[in-house]
Amino acid sequence: MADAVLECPSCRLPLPDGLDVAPSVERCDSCGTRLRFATFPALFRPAPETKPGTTALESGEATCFHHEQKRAVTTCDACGKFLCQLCDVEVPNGHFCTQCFEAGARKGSIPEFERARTRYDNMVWSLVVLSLLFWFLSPLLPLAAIILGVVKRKAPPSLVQRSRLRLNLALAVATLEFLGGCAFWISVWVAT
Amino acid sequence: MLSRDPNFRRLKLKARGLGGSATYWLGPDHLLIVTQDGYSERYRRIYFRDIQAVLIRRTSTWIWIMVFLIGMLVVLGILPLTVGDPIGYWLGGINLVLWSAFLIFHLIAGPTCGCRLVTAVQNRDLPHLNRWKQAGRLLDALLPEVNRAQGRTTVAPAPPPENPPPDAAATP
Repeated sequence: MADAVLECPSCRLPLPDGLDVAPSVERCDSCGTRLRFATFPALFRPAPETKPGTTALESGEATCFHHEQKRAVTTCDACGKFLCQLCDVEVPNGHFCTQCFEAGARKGSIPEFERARTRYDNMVWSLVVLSLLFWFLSPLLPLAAIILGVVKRKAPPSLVQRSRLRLNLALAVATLEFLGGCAFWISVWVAT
Repeated sequence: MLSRDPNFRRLKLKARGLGGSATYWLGPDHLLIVTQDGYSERYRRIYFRDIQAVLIRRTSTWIWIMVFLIGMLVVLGILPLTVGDPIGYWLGGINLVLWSAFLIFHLIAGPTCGCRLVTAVQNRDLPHLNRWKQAGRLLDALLPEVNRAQGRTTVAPAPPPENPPPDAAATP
């Protein structure tokens, strides 16, 4: 429990002892802010030992892909490269090299690494609504919405909303707007 | 979709703000926070084994919002009614209903707060979780999961009250 110090979020002064009673509602002794907090065993756990930077290599042992003088301790689950302790990125579901970890985070190919997705369905809906407001620009905005929707139709959908359904609905409305806009401007052109 | 995934359970929290909203999901070994801000969705995973503490602090924003809403109610809702003009009655009436509704919703939502998750390497403020009741619900949902992940089977009991009831004091 040597390092078990929690700071008050308001005044940043250490909260009093006895934090292993959880959960509780108290006031900070320093600033009087009302707090509700819970602490967990991880707070009182000693810091893990750091990985050794180098490992002596003996003859006949597999070596790290990036460091020829270091012993391989595992392989990358994505590309299969041999990794030493320094190059190993350990996540709950496996071990990865730094390149695969970066690529997985960027492309979203490994779900655990994925950090963001773009909501193209919302973009298409915005264009659909904008084309209703700026109807005199029609059918340009619906056309942009259709192109964006078709191009990004295969993009990964939202994790929490039915974005594919929303995208298809937006495409249907945009198509109607486009056809209506074309009909309007053709009728204007014919009349003049 | 996460709602169809049996490994994930959505916490029913109202986490909305001016810039977007957030949903909180309990996964098999982590808390997944999905933040939506218009055209993007961001994911943040916090593993139960890494959570050291959850801190919720009450903020004074609640009072300032209430002062603002009461001010708007008086200026836009009640003052026009005192003018004696038909248009004033209409405008005042509409504003009275509108700002009263805002005020009631605000009072029902309860005090505001900031919620922070503490891990060994970072202190992360939880997005859009700014009401005391909602943050308390998150804490209640997290407690058993984190305790289980970190090997604590029972939660330590709360400290006894400083002034015990008279019946308890009378018993030998």
